Parts: sequence; C-alpha cells; structure tokens
Amino acid sequence: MFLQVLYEGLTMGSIYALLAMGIALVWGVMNILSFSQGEFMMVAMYLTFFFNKLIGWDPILSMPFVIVAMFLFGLCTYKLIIARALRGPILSQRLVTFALGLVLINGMTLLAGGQTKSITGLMFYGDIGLSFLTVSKQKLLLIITSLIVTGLLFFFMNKTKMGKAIRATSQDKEAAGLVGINTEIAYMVTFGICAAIAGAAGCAMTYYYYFMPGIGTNFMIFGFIAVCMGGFGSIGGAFIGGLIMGVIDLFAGTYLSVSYKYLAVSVIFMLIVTFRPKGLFGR
Amino acid sequence: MKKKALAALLCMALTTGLVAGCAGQPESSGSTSQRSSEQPSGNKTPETVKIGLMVSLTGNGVQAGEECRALAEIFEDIINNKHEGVSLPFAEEEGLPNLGGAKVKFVVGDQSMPDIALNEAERLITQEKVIGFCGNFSSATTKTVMVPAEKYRCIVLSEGTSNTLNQAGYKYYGRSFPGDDLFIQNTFEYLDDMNKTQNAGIKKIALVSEDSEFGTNIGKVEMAAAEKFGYEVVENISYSSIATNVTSEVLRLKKANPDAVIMSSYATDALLFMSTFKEQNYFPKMLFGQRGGFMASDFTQNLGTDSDYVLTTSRWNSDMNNKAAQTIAKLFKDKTGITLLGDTLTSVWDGVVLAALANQAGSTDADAIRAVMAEGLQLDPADDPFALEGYKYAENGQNEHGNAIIVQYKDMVLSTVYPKAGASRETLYPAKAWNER
Repeated sequence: MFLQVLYEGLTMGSIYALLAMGIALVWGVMNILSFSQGEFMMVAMYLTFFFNKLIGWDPILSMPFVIVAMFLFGLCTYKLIIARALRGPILSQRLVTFALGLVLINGMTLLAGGQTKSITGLMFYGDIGLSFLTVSKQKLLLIITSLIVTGLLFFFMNKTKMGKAIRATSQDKEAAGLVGINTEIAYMVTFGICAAIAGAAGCAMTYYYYFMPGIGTNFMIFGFIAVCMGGFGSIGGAFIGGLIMGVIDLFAGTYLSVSYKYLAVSVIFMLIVTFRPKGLFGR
Repeated sequence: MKKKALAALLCMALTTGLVAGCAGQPESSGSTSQRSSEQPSGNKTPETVKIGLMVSLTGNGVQAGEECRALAEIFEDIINNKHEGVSLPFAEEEGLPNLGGAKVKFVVGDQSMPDIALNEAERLITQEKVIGFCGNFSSATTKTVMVPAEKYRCIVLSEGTSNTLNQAGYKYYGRSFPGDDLFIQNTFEYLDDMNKTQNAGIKKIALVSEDSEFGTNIGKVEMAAAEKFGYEVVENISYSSIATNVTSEVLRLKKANPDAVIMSSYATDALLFMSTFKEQNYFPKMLFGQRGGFMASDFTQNLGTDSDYVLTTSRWNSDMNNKAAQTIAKLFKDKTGITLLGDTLTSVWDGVVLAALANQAGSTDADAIRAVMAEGLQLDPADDPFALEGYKYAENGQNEHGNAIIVQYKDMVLSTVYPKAGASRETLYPAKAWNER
C-alpha cells in the first residue's frame, strides 16, 4: 500500500511539476504570472484529440507535433498580446494572461462544444503487475514525460546559446541588451517554451484524463502552489515542489482523511513560505 | 454653425424621446425600481409568453445546457404549431388557447455560478419580462434565483433537490419531482428489496459525496437513512468536485471493501472516479449514483461499456411504457443524435408545466399561477412523458405526486429496474470485476 501511494503521489506530482515549470520559467524571465498555463495545457489536449480523431494518431505519436504547434502558438501569443501588455501598467501585465485563459476556455467551448472528451484505443494501456506495486501504463507515461521535459529544459537552459541568453535576460535585461542579446527574442522564445511544456503535459494527460474546456483551471491553483513551494524562478524548484505536492496529497488523503488532503498541502505550503519565504530553491 | 445645428438636433431627439416615453407609459410596465409590486407581464394577454430557461453557458454544465436548449426548441415548436396525433401538451393547438393563442418562447439565461444566476434572473425578469423560470438548476443556483423571483413575483420551477429549498418559505417556488429525501428513501428501499428478492447480502455501504451543496446535503440525508434502514457505513468520503485526482479516495474504498458504494458527483468527477476505479482494478458489487454526473450524456459517451452495472436514481427513462415519453425521446434523438436523459427532460418539462399552469390560470400573473399550482394542474396523463398522477404543489413548493425510479446501465443503455411495476428488466447484480467483463 505504501509503495502504491508513493507511486500515485509521484504521478500526480509530475503533472503539477510540468505545469509549475512553465509558470516558474515565465515568472523567472519575464516577471509575468502565467495564469493561462492551465488553458495552454487544455488547448494541447484538444489538439491531441483532433489529431486522434482526424488522423487516428495515438497521443504519443502526436506529441512532437503538438509540442511544436504549442511552441508556435506561444510565440504568436507573445508577439500579439504579451509584448504589448508588457509596455502597459503593471496590473495589465499581471492580468493579461488571466484574460487570455478565459478567452481560450470560451473559444474552445465554441469550437469543440462543452462535452467531455476522451481518447480511446491507446497504444499503452493496462497495468504492469508487480507483486508489491500495480503500475498503470497510462500514468507511467506521465512520469516519463515529466522527466524527459525536465531534462530537456535543463539542457536547453544550461547548454545552448539561446538558453544562456534567456538566463542572462532573466538576471538583468538591460545588461543583457548591452552585450548584444536580443532580449525581445529571448522573451518570445521563453513564452514559446512555456506553451510547449504545456503542450507536452496536455498530450500526456490525454492518456489518463477526460477533458473539457475548463479542465486547466482545476490544475492551475496546484501549479502555482508548487511554484511557491519550490521557489519562484527556479525550474528545478518547481519540479521538486510539484512532486512534494503530489506525494502530500496522496499520503494525507489515503492515511489521514480525504477531507484533509488539501489542508495538509496548505499547511506544508505555509510552513515552507514561513521558514523559507522564497521557497525551497528560490533565490 | 455646426455646433448650433448639432445642439438643435440633440434637442429635437430629446423632445421626441420624452414625448414617445410619455405616450408609451400606459403600456410600459414601469421602471425597474417600481417592479417589486408588479408582475412582469401583467394580466393582459400577451402575444408571447416568455419562460426563462436557466442553463450553464460556461463550466462543467455546458453540455447539459446545450441539450436543454435543443429540447426547449422542440417544445416551442410543439406548443406554437399544430402537430396532429402527437401526444404532448398543446400539440393539437397553436399556442396557449386560454391566453388567446399566445406563443411560448424560452429565453436562455446563464446559471453557471450562483452569483451569475442571480444577475441573469434579474435581467430576464426586468428586461425580457419572463413569467417564470425552469432549467438545469442546482440547489445553490435555485437559492440565488429565488431572490429576484420573490422580489419581482415570478414563478421558479426548479429540480434542485436540496430539502432546504422546501424549508426556506418561498412563495413562488415549485419542484415537480422528488427532493433528496424521497430519492434517498427510494435508494434504501431498493437496497432492502435487493436483499429480499435477489439475496444480495448488502450490509456494508460507503458514501462518496462531492463537497458542494448538492453532495453535502445528499451525504447528510444518506447517513440518516443508512441508520434508519440498518446499514453499516464503512466509509463516508467528502471530496472536491474540482479534484484533479481521486486516487486516495478510491484506495480508501478499496480498503474498506463495502458491498455498495453510493455516490453523488458531477460529470467530470464521476468520470474521473470511473477511470480511477478501473486503473486500481476495483469495482464494488454495486455502484449507485445519485443522478448528477451519472445521468449526464457524457457518462456513457466517454465510458462506453465501462459504464455497465452502474445504477442511478432518476425521474424518467426513455424505456417508460408511455406514448408521450416515446414521442419526446424520438424527437430529441432525431434532432441531436443524443439519447434524451431524465435530468434534461425534467429541466425543460418544468417550462412546459409553467406554460400549462399559465394557460389554466388564463393569466401570466404569478399569484394566479401560484393559485393553480396549489389547486392542481389539469394535464391529460396521456400527454405527460412522466405519467405522474398529477401536479399539485404543497405550500412548501413540493409537488405531492413527484415520483422517482432507479435505472441501470448495460451496453450504454439505461433500463428501469425499480420500482418493479415500471421495470423493464431485473437488476444485474453483483457487478462483474473489470477483468471478467
């Protein structure tokens, strides 16, 4: 039972981690709260659904295409909306992604209807039965996706020229501009990556979740708590924060009471921000 | 020169407006602030009787809302145009005969959230001048809609099931079908019947309820009923309907191993529970839903045959041996391609009942309609898809003849299994484990 709960907790945690990493990245670089991260994930779920219905592709096959599509969607969103809002007052900058989220929810309702959707006939389905643990293949995909995305993100940010430019921009935008970094491009790519991460998350989540236009909203609050736990601006912190949240959620719900699981998450969150106001890995 | 011309033009426009306003006064129903003592459409025979159809335009209830709107269009057509040989109210006439052939129009309002519902209800009363409301209300949205309804004297027929609605002392409120108490009594009588007739051996039960007003009230009534009927509650779980995972809930159920699990959930969380049940390779001998998500069209469309063996309380089912029921089920299927569900039909049927009440009263005045509600609606039973014994509303708003049934899924089709008199087959019990299906 203990190992089962731990596995389920890590699975949930990996979903929160995927959401949290996008939020942490955008905040760290651009000082913008990405309230629309859950809705980006929802758009990715519908893209995956359309690929499945129109071409018959399994979510795993469509994942690279969804990630690229979401990256481009992120670039366009930045260019058309975010870049302009960044020139406005601070409140507009903070709330523009919130408005964007509402537009995406209602737009998807108009486009695809309010009916709950799901993808059937999955490539990986069922359980891997171990004597001490039942591993759901659908959920395993979520964990693997989370680990790969985290690894790729770390590689990109630390080993590539663009990644280093983004990090430099996040540390001091003016100084980065003075040494020849195109900070506008850095911002745009950051937002694109944020949407692409949501793309990977959304695609993997269709393996397990039923979805409708409002699904992203339910996950967002947990994504934000994970970021606060791990530390705003820290991608690794967001990942760890997500995992911690998932594990607390499952252990409290299973061993204490289901009614206490969100209470437990909130208490741990308050303890972390009390003793480490910037989060576990925040600077 | 231009400024002078503009000023003259404005003066003329204002004067014309004032004159038109004064001339129109006898016909207008007055300002919003004056409406508290005035019925929206008055006693005069209107050309169109507008009925507010409150549905969710955003959030989890969008699909149910779309289905209600489609059904409302069907009923509008049946009432407003002549349809010979159709067994539904006003099909043989054009409009409402006692109101000079007035046409019926459903006007849609949003009830996604309680506060939105309040503002929308006020808008529909003061601007659209609806004579009353029906829709897929929850208990919470019913309560907020009742605020302007009581203020402006406007009838609300709502199927929110909370018992608190009957205890609030509303004057213009009615519920045509049972509340939580009767649905739950029916549930436990059914469990007793299963133990007696099919030797089901159900002793231990688990209650799983989402934590808004809908689930919380049901949970409380179920706890009391379990004690009254002598069932042991081995797990009582209250969870959030916006939960992103219900694994710990399912693990607890698996550990408690009840004979029957009785759930009150909305659509998305009901589906999440079902997928988690399957993932954890767990399914109780009996899974019983209290309508909500278990009566949504999303349920079978997403689960397919994984919905097999799930039972739920209902107010209506398409297998009812009744010509009106078969007619409306077919019309809906032809229009939408979706099987008509009891919750959708009740939501819109209340609007038809409201039109029939106004017709019988010969007035759209709320007090006149309320008087007819108290004395009883004279509706030809052959035209009633629910085949209720009648529609006579007590002082607390409850229809004395409201009835409940129990239905079960098999091969994506709902069949009535209780009460025995209306059952189309026996209950499939115990439910098969996932690996045996």
